[in-house]
This record gives sequence, C-alpha cells and structure tokens, in this order.
Amino acid sequence: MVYDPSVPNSREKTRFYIAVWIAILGSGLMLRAKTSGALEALWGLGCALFAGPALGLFFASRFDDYFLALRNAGFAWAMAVVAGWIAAHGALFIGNTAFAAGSALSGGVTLITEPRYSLPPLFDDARWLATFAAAAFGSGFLVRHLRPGP
Amino acid sequence: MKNRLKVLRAERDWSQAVLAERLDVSRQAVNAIETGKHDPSLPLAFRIARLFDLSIEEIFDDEHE
Repeated sequence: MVYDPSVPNSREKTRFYIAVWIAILGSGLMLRAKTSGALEALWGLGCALFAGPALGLFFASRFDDYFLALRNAGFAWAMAVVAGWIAAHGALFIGNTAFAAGSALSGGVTLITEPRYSLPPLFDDARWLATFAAAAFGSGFLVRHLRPGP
Repeated sequence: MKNRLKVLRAERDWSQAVLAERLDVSRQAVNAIETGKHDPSLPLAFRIARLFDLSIEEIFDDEHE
C-alpha cells in the first residue's frame, strides 16, 4: 500500500470517537437547554460542541468502516427526525387545503382566512428541529454502538 | 457473523490496539468485529485475511450466531 501522509492512522481513527462523544455531549446540552428555559444560554454552547464534530463527520471520509456504520446510523436517525418534521408540515398543508376545498364545495365559495388545523408552536421553531435532529444523531450513534449484533 | 479474530489475535499475543494499527483501523473497530457487533467490509476482510495469511473463510463464518 502506498504511504499517504493525509490518511489518518489507527490512533487518529480512534480519536474520531472522542470527537463524537463531544458532539453527543453537545446534543445533550442542546436538549437540556431547550427543555428547561432557565438554561437557554447553554443552547449555543451545545450547538458549538455539536457543530464542529458533526461537520467534520460530514466532510471527512477516511474513517474505518465500523465508524462509518455508526456515523451513518446517527445521520439516518437525524434524517428521520427532519423527515418527520417535514411530513408534519406536509400533512398540515394537505389537511388545511382539503378543509378549505371541502368547505368551498359544500357551502359554496367561502373565504377561509384562518387555517383549520395547526401544529404545536415548537414545529415553527427551527431551534427545536436542530435540537431534536442533534439528539437523534447522538441516539442513533449510541444505539448502533451498544447494539449487540451488526 | 462468527469469526476467529480474537483467537487469532490471542495466538499472536497482540492487543486490540496492536491489531488495529496493523489493520489501520480504530481499536473500537477491532473490538466490534471480535464481539460480532460489526461485520467488516470486504476490503477490510481481505486485509485481515492477508495479515493472518489465511483465507477469508478460515476467519469468518457467514452462519448466523
């Protein structure tokens, strides 16, 4: 195998895990900060701790395949949260559109200014989405790490 | 997937860290493969087989545990 100084060695690959534990700590801080209003200031610190390792995980590619499996599990869980969030807004749109169309068809054309259905306020707060996605990443990584089988 | 990695490593008196260095993976990856938590990719399976001078089938058994 040709020596490539830019390829991380075994020790450096082992250190990647430390970066992820820091990211998971950051996601825990974010969640704690959002769920207790008094610690709102800690949310930014959690973001800072999470963002660095997470960006590194996204852009770097020279991990070993076990680490990639853990990382992919974390990303999949985070993506599931984002997809659920998007699906909730999509369902809301469909529900409100169907209600407006149904009202128009049954009672003639009516002007509906207020949407019939709405989501809880946290669905309009991008900070909650970021917090849930970060927590889901950490959870996915940990579950895959602790799972007994492949 | 069952494997003999732990036995082969023990026969050579290597620690997980030593084996990880020889395979150019993290120590956690070696541990995960040994404990059956992770099935290695084909390139890594070949590297393991070459390191121990055995065929892949002699190290890994695709029968489920």
